[in-house]
Amino acid sequence: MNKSLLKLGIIILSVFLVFSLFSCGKNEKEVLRVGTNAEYPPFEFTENNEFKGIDMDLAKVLGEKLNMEVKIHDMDFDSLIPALNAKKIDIAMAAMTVTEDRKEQVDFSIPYYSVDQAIIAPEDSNIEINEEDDLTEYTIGAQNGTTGQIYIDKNFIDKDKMNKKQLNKYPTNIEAITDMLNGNLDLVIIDSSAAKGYKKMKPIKTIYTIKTGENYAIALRQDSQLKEKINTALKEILKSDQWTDILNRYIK
Amino acid sequence: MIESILFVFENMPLLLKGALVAVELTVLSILLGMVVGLLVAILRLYGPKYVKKLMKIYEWVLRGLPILVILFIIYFGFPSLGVNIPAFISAVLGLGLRSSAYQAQIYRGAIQSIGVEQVEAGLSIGMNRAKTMLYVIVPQAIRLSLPGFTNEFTIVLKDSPLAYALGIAELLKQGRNIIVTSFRPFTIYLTCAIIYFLLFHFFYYLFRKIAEVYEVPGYIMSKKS
Repeated sequence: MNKSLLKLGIIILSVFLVFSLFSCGKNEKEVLRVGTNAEYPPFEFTENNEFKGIDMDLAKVLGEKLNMEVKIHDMDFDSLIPALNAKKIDIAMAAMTVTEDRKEQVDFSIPYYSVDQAIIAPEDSNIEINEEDDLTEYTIGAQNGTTGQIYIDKNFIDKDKMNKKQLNKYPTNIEAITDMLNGNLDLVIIDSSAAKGYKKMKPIKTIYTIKTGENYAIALRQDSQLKEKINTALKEILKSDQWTDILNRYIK
Repeated sequence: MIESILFVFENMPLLLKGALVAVELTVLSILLGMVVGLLVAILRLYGPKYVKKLMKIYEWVLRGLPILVILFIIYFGFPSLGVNIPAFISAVLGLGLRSSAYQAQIYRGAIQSIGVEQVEAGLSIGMNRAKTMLYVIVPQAIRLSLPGFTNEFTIVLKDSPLAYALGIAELLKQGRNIIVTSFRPFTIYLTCAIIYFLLFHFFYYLFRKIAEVYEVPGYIMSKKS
Protein backbone atom coordinates (compact mmCIF):
# COMPACT_ATOMS: atom_id res chain seq x y z
CA MET A 1 0.00 0.00 0.00
CA ASN A 2 1.26 3.45 -0.91
CA LYS A 3 2.01 5.71 2.06
CA SER A 4 0.77 8.98 0.61
CA LEU A 5 -2.35 7.36 -0.78
CA LEU A 6 -3.11 5.95 2.64
CA LYS A 7 -2.55 9.35 4.27
CA LEU A 8 -4.84 11.02 1.73
CA GLY A 9 -7.49 8.40 2.33
CA ILE A 10 -7.39 8.94 6.06
CA ILE A 11 -7.59 12.72 5.67
CA ILE A 12 -10.57 12.51 3.30
CA LEU A 13 -12.35 10.10 5.60
CA SER A 14 -11.91 12.30 8.65
CA VAL A 15 -12.96 15.47 6.83
CA PHE A 16 -16.08 13.71 5.58
CA LEU A 17 -16.91 12.52 9.05
CA VAL A 18 -16.44 15.91 10.67
CA PHE A 19 -18.64 17.58 8.08
CA SER A 20 -21.37 15.03 8.48
CA LEU A 21 -21.60 16.27 12.07
CA PHE A 22 -22.50 19.79 10.98
CA SER A 23 -24.89 18.85 8.22
CA CYS A 24 -27.98 19.70 10.23
CA GLY A 25 -30.43 21.81 8.27
CA LYS A 26 -32.30 24.95 9.33
CA ASN A 27 -36.04 25.46 9.05
CA GLU A 28 -38.38 28.42 9.29
CA LYS A 29 -41.53 26.89 10.81
CA GLU A 30 -41.56 26.42 14.55
CA VAL A 31 -40.57 22.85 15.38
CA LEU A 32 -42.61 20.53 17.56
CA ARG A 33 -40.24 17.88 18.91
CA VAL A 34 -42.27 14.74 19.52
CA GLY A 35 -40.65 11.98 21.57
CA THR A 36 -41.72 8.40 21.03
CA ASN A 37 -40.57 4.82 21.33
CA ALA A 38 -41.15 3.43 17.86
CA GLU A 39 -41.25 -0.19 18.96
CA TYR A 40 -44.92 -0.39 19.78
CA PRO A 41 -47.21 -1.29 16.89
CA PRO A 42 -49.89 -0.34 16.08
CA PHE A 43 -49.26 2.96 17.88
CA GLU A 44 -45.70 3.66 16.78
CA PHE A 45 -43.27 1.74 14.64
CA THR A 46 -41.09 2.29 11.61
CA GLU A 47 -41.56 1.04 8.09
CA ASN A 48 -38.82 1.74 5.57
CA ASN A 49 -37.35 4.29 7.97
CA GLU A 50 -40.63 6.18 8.19
CA PHE A 51 -42.53 6.61 11.41
CA LYS A 52 -45.97 5.07 11.28
CA GLY A 53 -48.78 4.20 13.64
CA ILE A 54 -51.74 5.82 15.34
CA ASP A 55 -49.65 8.21 17.47
CA MET A 56 -47.41 9.18 14.58
CA ASP A 57 -50.34 9.97 12.27
CA LEU A 58 -52.00 11.87 15.09
CA ALA A 59 -48.80 13.85 15.61
CA LYS A 60 -48.80 14.77 11.94
CA VAL A 61 -52.40 16.05 12.08
CA LEU A 62 -51.63 17.86 15.33
CA GLY A 63 -48.66 19.55 13.68
CA GLU A 64 -50.88 20.77 10.84
CA LYS A 65 -53.44 22.15 13.28
CA LEU A 66 -50.79 23.96 15.34
CA ASN A 67 -48.95 25.07 12.20
CA MET A 68 -45.76 23.54 13.51
CA GLU A 69 -43.25 21.24 11.89
CA VAL A 70 -43.28 17.83 13.59
CA LYS A 71 -39.93 16.22 14.28
CA ILE A 72 -39.95 12.73 15.73
CA HIS A 73 -37.33 11.76 18.31
CA ASP A 74 -37.20 8.01 18.75
CA MET A 75 -35.89 6.77 22.10
CA ASP A 76 -36.34 4.27 24.92
CA PHE A 77 -39.78 4.38 26.54
CA ASP A 78 -38.11 4.82 29.94
CA SER A 79 -36.22 7.84 28.60
CA LEU A 80 -39.28 9.79 27.47
CA ILE A 81 -40.11 11.52 30.75
CA PRO A 82 -36.46 12.38 31.54
CA ALA A 83 -36.14 13.70 27.97
CA LEU A 84 -39.22 15.90 28.43
CA ASN A 85 -37.86 17.38 31.64
CA ALA A 86 -34.40 17.79 30.11
CA LYS A 87 -36.10 19.80 27.31
CA LYS A 88 -34.90 17.35 24.67
CA ILE A 89 -38.46 17.02 23.40
CA ASP A 90 -41.60 19.19 23.66
CA ILE A 91 -44.22 16.47 23.92
CA ALA A 92 -44.23 12.69 24.22
CA MET A 93 -46.64 10.57 22.20
CA ALA A 94 -46.00 6.95 22.91
CA ALA A 95 -49.27 5.30 23.89
CA MET A 96 -48.53 6.63 27.35
CA THR A 97 -51.08 5.90 30.05
CA VAL A 98 -51.97 8.68 32.47
CA THR A 99 -50.90 7.57 35.97
CA GLU A 100 -50.53 9.37 39.29
CA ASP A 101 -46.81 8.59 39.41
CA ARG A 102 -46.22 10.04 35.99
CA LYS A 103 -48.34 13.08 36.86
CA GLU A 104 -45.79 13.97 39.52
CA GLN A 105 -43.18 14.28 36.78
CA VAL A 106 -45.10 15.57 33.78
CA ASP A 107 -48.42 17.06 32.69
CA PHE A 108 -50.90 15.34 30.37
CA SER A 109 -53.26 16.47 27.63
CA ILE A 110 -56.84 15.27 27.46
CA PRO A 111 -56.97 11.50 26.82
CA TYR A 112 -57.30 10.32 23.22
CA TYR A 113 -57.54 6.55 23.58
CA SER A 114 -58.63 4.09 26.23
CA VAL A 115 -57.32 0.57 26.87
CA ASP A 116 -57.34 -2.33 29.31
CA GLN A 117 -54.59 -4.77 30.18
CA ALA A 118 -54.60 -7.99 28.18
CA ILE A 119 -53.08 -11.25 29.35
CA ILE A 120 -51.75 -13.08 26.32
CA ALA A 121 -50.52 -16.65 25.88
CA PRO A 122 -49.17 -18.70 22.97
CA GLU A 123 -51.96 -19.83 20.68
CA ASP A 124 -51.51 -23.50 21.59
CA SER A 125 -51.39 -22.85 25.32
CA ASN A 126 -54.11 -24.38 27.51
CA ILE A 127 -53.72 -22.02 30.45
CA GLU A 128 -57.06 -20.73 31.69
CA ILE A 129 -57.47 -17.60 33.73
CA ASN A 130 -60.89 -17.18 35.29
CA GLU A 131 -60.08 -14.54 37.85
CA GLU A 132 -57.18 -12.25 38.47
CA ASP A 133 -55.69 -14.30 41.30
CA ASP A 134 -55.20 -17.24 38.92
CA LEU A 135 -52.28 -15.27 37.51
CA THR A 136 -50.21 -15.95 40.64
CA GLU A 137 -49.54 -19.50 39.47
CA TYR A 138 -47.68 -18.46 36.34
CA THR A 139 -44.58 -16.56 35.24
CA ILE A 140 -45.45 -13.35 33.49
CA GLY A 141 -43.46 -11.08 31.19
CA ALA A 142 -43.90 -7.34 30.71
CA GLN A 143 -42.21 -4.37 29.12
CA ASN A 144 -40.41 -2.48 31.84
CA GLY A 145 -42.02 0.79 32.90
CA THR A 146 -45.42 -0.04 31.39
CA THR A 147 -48.70 -0.01 33.31
CA GLY A 148 -48.92 -3.79 32.92
CA GLN A 149 -45.63 -4.30 34.72
CA ILE A 150 -46.57 -1.77 37.41
CA TYR A 151 -49.96 -3.45 37.84
CA ILE A 152 -48.40 -6.87 38.54
CA ASP A 153 -45.84 -5.32 40.86
CA LYS A 154 -48.40 -3.38 42.87
CA ASN A 155 -51.22 -5.92 43.05
CA PHE A 156 -49.33 -9.18 43.33
CA ILE A 157 -45.66 -8.83 44.19
CA ASP A 158 -45.95 -6.00 46.73
CA LYS A 159 -48.77 -7.94 48.41
CA ASP A 160 -46.67 -11.14 48.52
CA LYS A 161 -49.15 -13.03 46.37
CA MET A 162 -46.43 -13.62 43.82
CA ASN A 163 -42.72 -14.26 43.94
CA LYS A 164 -40.52 -11.55 42.45
CA LYS A 165 -39.05 -14.14 40.09
CA GLN A 166 -42.45 -14.68 38.51
CA LEU A 167 -42.32 -11.31 36.77
CA ASN A 168 -39.74 -10.89 34.02
CA LYS A 169 -39.16 -7.37 32.78
CA TYR A 170 -38.02 -6.64 29.23
CA PRO A 171 -36.91 -3.53 27.32
CA THR A 172 -39.86 -3.93 24.94
CA ASN A 173 -42.87 -6.17 24.39
CA ILE A 174 -41.08 -7.84 21.49
CA GLU A 175 -38.56 -9.51 23.80
CA ALA A 176 -41.32 -10.46 26.23
CA ILE A 177 -43.45 -12.10 23.54
CA THR A 178 -40.46 -13.78 21.89
CA ASP A 179 -39.37 -15.18 25.24
CA MET A 180 -42.89 -16.46 25.85
CA LEU A 181 -43.02 -18.15 22.44
CA ASN A 182 -39.60 -19.66 23.17
CA GLY A 183 -41.18 -21.32 26.19
CA ASN A 184 -39.45 -19.29 28.91
CA LEU A 185 -42.62 -17.62 30.13
CA ASP A 186 -46.26 -18.60 30.52
CA LEU A 187 -47.95 -15.27 29.91
CA VAL A 188 -47.34 -11.68 28.93
CA ILE A 189 -49.25 -8.65 30.19
CA ILE A 190 -49.69 -5.94 27.60
CA ASP A 191 -52.05 -3.12 26.62
CA SER A 192 -55.14 -4.59 24.92
CA SER A 193 -54.61 -2.38 21.87
CA ALA A 194 -51.06 -3.65 21.39
CA ALA A 195 -52.25 -7.24 21.85
CA LYS A 196 -54.49 -6.72 18.83
CA GLY A 197 -51.56 -5.42 16.82
CA TYR A 198 -49.23 -8.28 17.73
CA LYS A 199 -51.88 -10.89 17.04
CA LYS A 200 -51.55 -10.12 13.35
CA MET A 201 -47.86 -11.02 13.48
CA LYS A 202 -47.49 -13.87 15.96
CA PRO A 203 -49.39 -16.96 17.12
CA ILE A 204 -50.75 -15.48 20.32
CA LYS A 205 -54.20 -15.16 21.90
CA THR A 206 -55.71 -12.97 24.57
CA ILE A 207 -56.94 -15.21 27.38
CA TYR A 208 -57.95 -12.65 29.96
CA THR A 209 -58.57 -8.93 30.20
CA ILE A 210 -58.05 -6.85 33.31
CA LYS A 211 -60.44 -3.91 33.09
CA THR A 212 -58.23 -0.99 33.99
CA GLY A 213 -59.81 1.64 31.75
CA GLU A 214 -56.51 3.42 31.25
CA ASN A 215 -56.23 6.52 29.16
CA TYR A 216 -53.53 7.32 26.67
CA ALA A 217 -52.62 10.98 26.57
CA ILE A 218 -49.90 13.27 25.30
CA ALA A 219 -47.28 14.03 27.95
CA LEU A 220 -46.00 17.59 28.32
CA ARG A 221 -43.60 19.41 30.61
CA GLN A 222 -45.35 20.85 33.64
CA ASP A 223 -44.40 24.38 32.63
CA SER A 224 -45.32 23.80 28.98
CA GLN A 225 -46.99 26.65 27.09
CA LEU A 226 -48.46 24.17 24.63
CA LYS A 227 -51.07 22.50 26.82
CA GLU A 228 -54.07 24.73 25.96
CA LYS A 229 -53.26 24.75 22.27
CA ILE A 230 -52.81 21.00 22.13
CA ASN A 231 -56.01 20.29 24.05
CA THR A 232 -58.05 22.53 21.75
CA ALA A 233 -56.55 20.95 18.66
CA LEU A 234 -56.94 17.44 20.06
CA LYS A 235 -60.64 18.00 20.82
CA GLU A 236 -61.23 19.04 17.23
CA ILE A 237 -59.26 16.11 15.82
CA LEU A 238 -61.00 13.49 17.98
CA LYS A 239 -64.37 14.63 16.62
CA SER A 240 -63.20 14.62 13.00
CA ASP A 241 -63.21 11.95 10.32
CA GLN A 242 -59.45 12.17 10.21
CA TRP A 243 -59.27 10.41 13.57
CA THR A 244 -61.63 7.60 12.46
CA ASP A 245 -59.49 7.20 9.35
CA ILE A 246 -56.32 6.88 11.43
CA LEU A 247 -57.88 4.29 13.70
CA ASN A 248 -59.25 2.30 10.77
CA ARG A 249 -55.85 2.32 9.14
CA TYR A 250 -54.20 0.48 12.04
CA ILE A 251 -56.84 -1.31 14.11
CA LYS A 252 -60.08 -2.81 12.90
CA MET B 1 -33.86 -20.22 4.36
CA ILE B 2 -34.02 -18.50 0.97
CA GLU B 3 -36.93 -16.48 2.26
CA SER B 4 -34.77 -15.35 5.21
CA ILE B 5 -31.96 -14.28 2.92
CA LEU B 6 -34.38 -12.30 0.78
CA PHE B 7 -35.78 -10.70 3.91
CA VAL B 8 -32.29 -9.68 5.03
CA PHE B 9 -31.49 -8.24 1.60
CA GLU B 10 -34.72 -6.29 1.60
CA ASN B 11 -33.73 -4.65 4.88
CA MET B 12 -30.03 -4.28 4.10
CA PRO B 13 -30.17 -0.58 3.11
CA LEU B 14 -31.54 0.31 6.55
CA LEU B 15 -29.01 -1.83 8.35
CA LEU B 16 -26.15 -0.38 6.31
CA LYS B 17 -27.39 3.10 7.07
CA GLY B 18 -27.22 2.16 10.74
CA ALA B 19 -23.76 0.69 10.24
CA LEU B 20 -22.58 3.99 8.73
CA VAL B 21 -23.83 5.83 11.81
CA ALA B 22 -21.98 3.32 14.00
CA VAL B 23 -18.76 3.97 12.06
CA GLU B 24 -19.23 7.76 12.23
CA LEU B 25 -19.82 7.51 15.94
CA THR B 26 -16.77 5.33 16.45
CA VAL B 27 -14.35 7.34 14.30
CA LEU B 28 -15.40 10.70 15.77
CA SER B 29 -15.21 9.33 19.31
CA ILE B 30 -11.77 7.85 18.68
CA LEU B 31 -10.53 11.13 17.20
CA LEU B 32 -11.81 13.07 20.21
CA GLY B 33 -10.30 10.45 22.48
CA MET B 34 -6.99 10.71 20.62
CA VAL B 35 -6.70 14.49 20.98
CA VAL B 36 -7.73 14.54 24.63
CA GLY B 37 -5.87 11.32 25.40
CA LEU B 38 -2.57 12.60 23.97
CA LEU B 39 -2.93 15.83 25.93
CA VAL B 40 -3.65 13.94 29.12
CA ALA B 41 -0.72 11.57 28.53
CA ILE B 42 1.75 14.42 27.91
CA LEU B 43 0.47 16.47 30.86
CA ARG B 44 0.65 13.47 33.10
CA LEU B 45 4.25 12.83 32.11
CA TYR B 46 5.65 16.34 31.82
CA GLY B 47 3.15 18.65 33.53
CA PRO B 48 3.53 20.38 36.90
CA LYS B 49 2.90 18.23 39.93
CA TYR B 50 -0.73 19.25 40.58
CA VAL B 51 -1.61 18.88 36.89
CA LYS B 52 -0.17 15.37 36.96
CA LYS B 53 -2.41 14.57 39.89
CA LEU B 54 -5.45 16.08 38.17
CA MET B 55 -4.84 14.01 35.04
CA LYS B 56 -4.49 10.90 37.16
CA ILE B 57 -7.90 11.59 38.72
CA TYR B 58 -9.39 12.23 35.26
CA GLU B 59 -8.19 8.84 34.02
CA TRP B 60 -9.24 7.16 37.24
CA VAL B 61 -12.80 8.50 37.23
CA LEU B 62 -13.55 7.90 33.55
CA ARG B 63 -12.13 4.40 33.64
CA GLY B 64 -14.21 3.61 36.70
CA LEU B 65 -17.64 4.46 35.26
CA PRO B 66 -19.86 2.29 33.07
CA ILE B 67 -20.22 3.90 29.66
CA LEU B 68 -24.01 3.94 29.90
CA VAL B 69 -23.82 6.01 33.08
CA ILE B 70 -21.49 8.50 31.39
CA LEU B 71 -23.87 8.79 28.43
CA PHE B 72 -26.91 9.31 30.67
CA ILE B 73 -25.15 11.96 32.74
CA ILE B 74 -24.18 13.90 29.62
CA TYR B 75 -27.51 13.56 27.84
CA PHE B 76 -30.07 13.64 30.65
CA GLY B 77 -28.06 15.11 33.53
CA PHE B 78 -26.34 18.12 32.00
CA PRO B 79 -29.57 19.86 30.88
CA SER B 80 -30.41 20.49 34.55
CA LEU B 81 -27.16 22.47 34.69
CA GLY B 82 -28.32 24.40 31.64
CA VAL B 83 -26.15 22.52 29.15
CA ASN B 84 -28.32 20.87 26.50
CA ILE B 85 -26.36 18.70 24.10
CA PRO B 86 -27.95 16.90 21.10
CA ALA B 87 -27.98 13.10 21.24
CA PHE B 88 -25.32 12.40 18.63
CA ILE B 89 -22.84 14.85 20.10
CA SER B 90 -23.59 13.53 23.60
CA ALA B 91 -22.74 10.04 22.41
CA VAL B 92 -19.50 11.20 20.78
CA LEU B 93 -18.56 13.10 23.94
CA GLY B 94 -19.34 10.14 26.18
CA LEU B 95 -17.62 7.51 24.08
CA GLY B 96 -14.75 9.89 23.20
CA LEU B 97 -13.96 11.06 26.72
CA ARG B 98 -14.16 7.56 28.12
CA SER B 99 -11.83 6.42 25.35
CA SER B 100 -9.47 9.34 26.07
CA ALA B 101 -8.79 7.91 29.51
CA TYR B 102 -7.77 4.59 28.01
CA GLN B 103 -5.89 6.14 25.11
CA ALA B 104 -3.95 8.35 27.56
CA GLN B 105 -2.70 5.17 29.19
CA ILE B 106 -1.74 3.65 25.86
CA TYR B 107 0.26 6.73 24.81
CA ARG B 108 1.82 7.20 28.23
CA GLY B 109 2.95 3.60 28.26
CA ALA B 110 4.39 3.94 24.77
CA ILE B 111 6.30 7.13 25.60
CA GLN B 112 7.60 5.69 28.84
CA SER B 113 8.83 2.53 27.21
CA ILE B 114 11.37 4.54 25.21
CA GLY B 115 14.53 4.77 27.26
CA VAL B 116 15.76 7.97 28.88
CA GLU B 117 19.10 7.41 27.17
CA GLN B 118 17.46 8.29 23.87
CA VAL B 119 16.43 11.67 25.28
CA GLU B 120 19.95 12.14 26.56
CA ALA B 121 21.33 11.17 23.16
CA GLY B 122 19.05 13.70 21.49
CA LEU B 123 20.10 16.46 23.87
CA SER B 124 23.77 15.59 23.48
CA ILE B 125 23.70 16.17 19.73
CA GLY B 126 22.25 19.64 20.25
CA MET B 127 18.48 19.08 19.93
CA ASN B 128 16.29 20.85 22.45
CA ARG B 129 13.63 19.01 24.47
CA ALA B 130 10.77 19.73 22.07
CA LYS B 131 12.78 18.60 19.08
CA THR B 132 13.86 15.44 20.87
CA MET B 133 10.22 14.68 21.60
CA LEU B 134 9.08 15.39 18.07
CA TYR B 135 11.84 13.61 16.12
CA VAL B 136 12.98 10.87 18.48
CA ILE B 137 10.29 9.93 20.97
CA VAL B 138 6.97 10.52 19.19
CA PRO B 139 7.73 8.58 15.96
CA GLN B 140 8.63 5.53 18.03
CA ALA B 141 5.80 6.01 20.49
CA ILE B 142 3.18 6.11 17.72
CA ARG B 143 4.41 2.80 16.37
CA LEU B 144 4.48 1.28 19.82
CA SER B 145 0.96 2.44 20.65
CA LEU B 146 -0.67 1.08 17.49
CA PRO B 147 -1.60 -2.36 18.84
CA GLY B 148 -3.17 -0.81 21.94
CA PHE B 149 -4.88 1.81 19.81
CA THR B 150 -6.32 -0.85 17.48
CA ASN B 151 -7.70 -2.66 20.47
CA GLU B 152 -9.24 0.54 21.85
CA PHE B 153 -10.78 1.33 18.46
CA THR B 154 -12.54 -2.00 18.33
CA ILE B 155 -13.74 -1.57 21.91
CA VAL B 156 -15.35 1.78 21.03
CA LEU B 157 -16.87 0.22 17.91
CA LYS B 158 -18.39 -2.53 19.99
CA ASP B 159 -19.67 -0.05 22.59
CA SER B 160 -21.30 2.16 19.96
CA PRO B 161 -24.63 0.27 20.13
CA LEU B 162 -25.12 1.82 23.58
CA ALA B 163 -25.83 5.10 21.80
CA TYR B 164 -29.16 3.46 21.05
CA ALA B 165 -30.19 4.35 24.60
CA LEU B 166 -30.07 8.03 23.53
CA GLY B 167 -32.25 7.24 20.53
CA ILE B 168 -29.50 7.33 17.91
CA ALA B 169 -30.43 5.20 14.93
CA GLU B 170 -27.23 3.17 14.73
CA LEU B 171 -27.08 -0.40 13.53
CA LEU B 172 -28.65 -2.11 16.54
CA LYS B 173 -31.51 0.40 16.75
CA GLN B 174 -32.26 -0.01 13.04
CA GLY B 175 -32.26 -3.75 13.60
CA ARG B 176 -34.71 -3.44 16.46
CA ASN B 177 -36.99 -1.22 14.40
CA ILE B 178 -37.14 -3.95 11.78
CA ILE B 179 -37.80 -6.62 14.40
CA VAL B 180 -40.78 -4.66 15.75
CA THR B 181 -42.73 -5.02 12.53
CA SER B 182 -41.28 -8.30 11.26
CA PHE B 183 -40.88 -10.12 14.56
CA ARG B 184 -37.79 -11.95 13.41
CA PRO B 185 -35.22 -11.31 16.12
CA PHE B 186 -32.89 -14.16 15.26
CA THR B 187 -32.44 -13.30 11.59
CA ILE B 188 -31.95 -9.60 12.25
CA TYR B 189 -29.69 -9.87 15.30
CA LEU B 190 -27.56 -12.41 13.45
CA THR B 191 -27.27 -10.04 10.49
CA CYS B 192 -26.30 -7.21 12.87
CA ALA B 193 -23.68 -9.47 14.44
CA ILE B 194 -22.21 -10.28 11.03
CA ILE B 195 -22.07 -6.58 10.08
CA TYR B 196 -20.39 -5.67 13.37
CA PHE B 197 -17.90 -8.45 12.90
CA LEU B 198 -17.10 -7.38 9.34
CA LEU B 199 -16.60 -3.79 10.51
CA PHE B 200 -14.35 -5.01 13.30
CA HIS B 201 -12.36 -7.08 10.85
CA PHE B 202 -12.08 -4.27 8.32
CA PHE B 203 -10.64 -1.79 10.83
CA TYR B 204 -8.41 -4.41 12.40
CA TYR B 205 -6.97 -5.17 8.98
CA LEU B 206 -6.65 -1.46 8.13
CA PHE B 207 -4.63 -0.70 11.25
CA ARG B 208 -2.42 -3.71 10.74
CA LYS B 209 -1.72 -2.50 7.20
CA ILE B 210 -0.86 0.95 8.55
CA ALA B 211 1.49 -0.67 11.06
CA GLU B 212 3.16 -2.64 8.27
CA VAL B 213 3.53 0.33 5.96
CA TYR B 214 5.16 2.47 8.61
CA GLU B 215 7.23 -0.31 10.07
CA VAL B 216 10.93 0.43 10.50
CA PRO B 217 12.86 -2.61 9.29
CA GLY B 218 14.70 -4.33 12.09
CA TYR B 219 12.86 -2.37 14.75
CA ILE B 220 11.00 -4.02 17.63
CA MET B 221 7.58 -4.18 15.91
CA SER B 222 6.60 -7.59 14.70
CA LYS B 223 4.41 -8.07 11.65
CA LYS B 224 1.89 -10.29 13.28
CA SER B 225 1.04 -8.50 16.46
